[in-house]
Parts: sequence; C-alpha cells; structure tokens
Amino acid sequence: MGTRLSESLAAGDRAAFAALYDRLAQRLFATARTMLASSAEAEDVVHDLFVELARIRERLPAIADLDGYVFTMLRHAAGRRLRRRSLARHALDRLGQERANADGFAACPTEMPDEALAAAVATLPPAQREVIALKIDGGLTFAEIAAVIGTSANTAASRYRYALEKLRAALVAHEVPR
Amino acid sequence: MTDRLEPHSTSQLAALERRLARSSLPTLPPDLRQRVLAAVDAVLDDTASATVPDLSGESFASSRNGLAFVVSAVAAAIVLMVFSTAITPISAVPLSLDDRARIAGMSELIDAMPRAGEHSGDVAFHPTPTTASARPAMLRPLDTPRILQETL
Repeated sequence: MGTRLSESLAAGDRAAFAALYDRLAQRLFATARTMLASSAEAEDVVHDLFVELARIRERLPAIADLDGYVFTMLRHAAGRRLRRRSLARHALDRLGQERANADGFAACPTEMPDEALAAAVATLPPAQREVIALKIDGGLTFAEIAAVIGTSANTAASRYRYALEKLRAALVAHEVPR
Repeated sequence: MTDRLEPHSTSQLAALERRLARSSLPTLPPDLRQRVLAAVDAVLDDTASATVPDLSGESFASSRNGLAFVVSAVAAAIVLMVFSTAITPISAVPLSLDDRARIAGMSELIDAMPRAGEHSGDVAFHPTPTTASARPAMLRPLDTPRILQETL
C-alpha cells in the first residue's frame, strides 16, 4: 500500500521530506496562492503542511494516494484560513468599519502577473475557485480533484467548466471597454 | 472522465485555460525550502512537535486515539453493567419477623420524637417564627421509656 517514499517519510528520513518538497512544493504553493489570494499565506500553509506531515509521518505508509492526501491537507488548511478571514471581516463590519468588498476572496488581489485574469479569478465563488486552483495550479485530474474535495469527478468537471465560463465573461466585460 | 474540456466547449475556453496555466507559475520564495526543512528537522528531533497545529483534517473518530477512546468507553460500560446486576439491592435482603418488629418500633419512636416548635419533657425546642406559625404547639406526648421497652 505504502510507497517507498512513504516508508522513508515514516522512518523520519530527512532526504525523503526534501524529495517530497521538491516534487510538490511548487504546485502546492501555486494552489494555495490561488485559493487564498495571498502569497504570504500560501507560504505559511505550505510550511505548516510539511511540519504536520513530519508530525504524522507514521501514518503515511497506510495512505494509498500520498499526493492526494497532501492536497486534501492543503485544502483544509486553506479553508480554515478563509473562514478565519471571513470571521475577522465580519468582526470589522460589526465595528462599523467600511467593507471593501462583498466577497472574502475579492478582499485582496490574487497576486497573479495577469492583472485582468487575477481580477476575474477574484470574482469566482470559493467552490469554483478551488477547482480552478487544483486543476490549473495543482495539476490534478478531475478524478483526483473529486477525491480531494469529496465529490464526483463529473461535479468537479462541471464546476471547472462553469468557472471557466464565468472567467471568460468577466474578462470580456473587463477588456471590451479598452 | 477526460481531463480536457467538453467537446462543446468553445476554443475561447481552451484559450482561457492556457492563459490560466501561463499565469499560474509563481516563483517559490527562495528561503521557503530551507525554512520548511528546518521546521521538519525540528519536528523529527521532537523539539517542536508540541506546538504544531493539527492540519491533517482527519476526524477524531477515525484516528487511532479516537478508536481507542471508543473501545475503552464501551468496555467501561460493559463492566459497569456486570457489576450493577451482581450487587443485590438492600431492599431485597430478607428480614426475620423480629427484625421487622424492631424496625416498626423504631419507626414509632421516630414518629413520636418532638419536632421544631414542640415541647416535650425537659427538652425545649425554640422554633423559628416560620415553623412556629406553621405547626401546632404539641402533637403528641413523648413516653420514651415505654417505647424503648416495647421496642427492645
């Protein structure tokens, strides 16, 4: 069931953790950045995720799909941060401070080099945005995305297509006036 | 399930997909690798494990600790049931006729004892205003020697 890498991780092999980082860190960071719209928070999530992997290393050999498990951890961590952000925003609202945006995702830029695309991604609902992140940034298949978010592959594919259509509409609205 | 767009999707969506892919390659912070591996080292050395938050996302019931907790709780419940059925209730202890007579005599003695607000023999009870207003001054005279003699 467990791969050789999982066994090495479970044994506390530092080189195995370095290998896992080199294999996944870029995709994890990009996915977290799109989900959270923040490079700084994406860094923190990736950092905490590897620390947690080290802490639970003895369980890893029992996991069939290590990459899927790691992306599931990433999604949970990002979700917790988004909920905290939403709570903080509501607390500020209650204090009477001006609310900059109606949606938590849109509260900060996505930090993409393509500004128009970043603005469009910021308008996506969280469920569609995470599918875009896992597909484009994480490089996962729809079946893998379905396993990560706990839905069917068809649902994941549909969300992805709806997200693309929404992005296209947002980009058209943004770029036509120019 | 194909990982490409559906056949009816327009080429515009495919172009958008490529545009997203081009835009999704952020540069990893150069020091992140070093920081991550240093933190992992610390955990492996068991120096920082106590402060690490739980990010695994596994439910408590499915974890090993959760399973152990459920098993021990069920075992405790079974032991409690066995002991509770093994202990005979005090009301089920058989009494002889003499025992019953003694208990009846003691009940009579207790019933005959003065209450707050009553006066009996040499002992004076000083009632509080509320009890004095709620009870008559004396319900029954107390003949302790006679009752004790009957009882014993």
